[in-house]
Amino acid sequence: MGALLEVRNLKYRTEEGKEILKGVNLDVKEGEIHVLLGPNGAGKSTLANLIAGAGGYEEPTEGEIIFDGKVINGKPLYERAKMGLTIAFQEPARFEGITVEEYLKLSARNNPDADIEECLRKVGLDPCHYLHRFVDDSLSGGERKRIELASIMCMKPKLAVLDEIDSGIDFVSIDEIGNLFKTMRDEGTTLLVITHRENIANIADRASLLCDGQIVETGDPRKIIKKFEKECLVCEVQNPSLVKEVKVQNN
Amino acid sequence: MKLNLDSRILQGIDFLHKVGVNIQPQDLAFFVDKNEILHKKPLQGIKSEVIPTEFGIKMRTVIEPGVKIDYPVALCFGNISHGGEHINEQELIVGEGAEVKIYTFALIGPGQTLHRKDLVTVRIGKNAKVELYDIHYHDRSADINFYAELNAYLDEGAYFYNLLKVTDQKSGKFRTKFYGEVGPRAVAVVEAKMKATEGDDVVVEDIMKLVGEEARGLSKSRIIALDGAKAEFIGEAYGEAPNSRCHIDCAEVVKGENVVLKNIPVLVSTNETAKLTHEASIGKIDKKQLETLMAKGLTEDEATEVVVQGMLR
Repeated sequence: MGALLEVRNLKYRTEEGKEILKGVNLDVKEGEIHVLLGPNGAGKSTLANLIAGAGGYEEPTEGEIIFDGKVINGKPLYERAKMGLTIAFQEPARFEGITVEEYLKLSARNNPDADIEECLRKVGLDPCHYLHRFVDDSLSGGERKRIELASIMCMKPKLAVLDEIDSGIDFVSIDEIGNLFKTMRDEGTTLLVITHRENIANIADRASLLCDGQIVETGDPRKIIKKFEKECLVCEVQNPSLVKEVKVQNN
Repeated sequence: MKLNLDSRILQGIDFLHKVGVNIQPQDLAFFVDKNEILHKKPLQGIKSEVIPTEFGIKMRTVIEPGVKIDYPVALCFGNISHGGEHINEQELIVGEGAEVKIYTFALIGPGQTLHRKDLVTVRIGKNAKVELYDIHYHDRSADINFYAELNAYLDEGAYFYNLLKVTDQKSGKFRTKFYGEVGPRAVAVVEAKMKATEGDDVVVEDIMKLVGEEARGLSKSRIIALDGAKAEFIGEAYGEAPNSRCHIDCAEVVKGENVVLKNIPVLVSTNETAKLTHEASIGKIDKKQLETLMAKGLTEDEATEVVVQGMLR
């Protein structure tokens, strides 16, 4: 399978001049689950937002994002969504007065075949109990994330960028979420998954490691997880406080 | 049974259908066009006296203790063919343990110029439960100066819910004041949902006085202000009784330019065990909400409309 998403030499500098991404190159192949690993502050969420056109509609300082063969730099978030590229945020927003049913119907408006009740069931939520609830603060963090996953399933996009969608979901359910990712992939949605969970990374077809604004390696997920654990978690640049703590303990 | 209704009633019902309120003529208990009573049907368990006055009506409604009204009572107070000076005075007395759900519709027809006052007093007996939905339809072509005052007195263990909502039309110059005295273990919840468009000037004032031990109050307002509108929220909570609690929550959302918004919370505690809190915000629609919806393929305008309609629901 060819690359559905190609990120070429992507750079991003904040208005204050801080370089967050320093030339990211990344290919996500059609039909794969691609996991993006990296320490806190490596630039994972910034990369996810730039790919989707989110995060305050910021544009990269340099570089190209190619989706489904087309350069999408400058295209707004909703146009990318209509092309089949969407994002699930780390903290999906909540909405007063909008029911789960309405929210899922909005998500499914370009996918008339969507079965919203089935999508809810697949994320482990009973439609009878959830369709008429509001997508507001009355939902727990885990419930809200499951609903976001259901909404992505209703959209059935070509590519979904999932930014730590598994955080806040209880540990017992993580395997279910991993299986759900596989189902989504098998039903035709390519996934770029940002996660810190090893058991989610393990179900990926490929993984990339983002460190200090650059992809340092792409390949077999198990190998990338090991590299992440051995090198990133003890890196003095990325985790100075942890390394200092370890040194103090060792002394 | 075919109802022989005045055309103004049908016009009023049509206004409500336009804004998504699905009421039918047979659901109506009462319809007045300023001081002209067009429809009044006797209701089981409810005693009601109405006196037309020069400028409106005086209405007194009593629900006897223990009476539970198991259907929603719909009352319409219209300005369909009459504008000018207009005063409605209403008193609702709900006896101990009684329960009722009332919908009042303020219907202002096209081209009316009016200066209207609705003065409502609700007295809720021990352990009684009252839900009062006050829905306004203000035609866009009307010139409106509206003052709505609601005074609620809750006896021990009583429950009162009030929703004031101006449907997606026009607010005009609209000042609303709620005053609630909440007795021991009683609960008062008041919500206001309004949209102010160009030229509108909206003031929402909620005053909660917690006078009984373990009294509870919640005041929640959602105001959307578009280009050239003015809106102000004043929320006051007085914690006078032991272990009383009150929360004031007001979000004012601005969309457009030349909008003036004010948000004034006042918390006064005279009892050390009372707990009063407030949450106030003024600003644009949360970018995260817009982006979450835009990631589903909605344009920014479509996403804004979804958020606004949700808040006003």
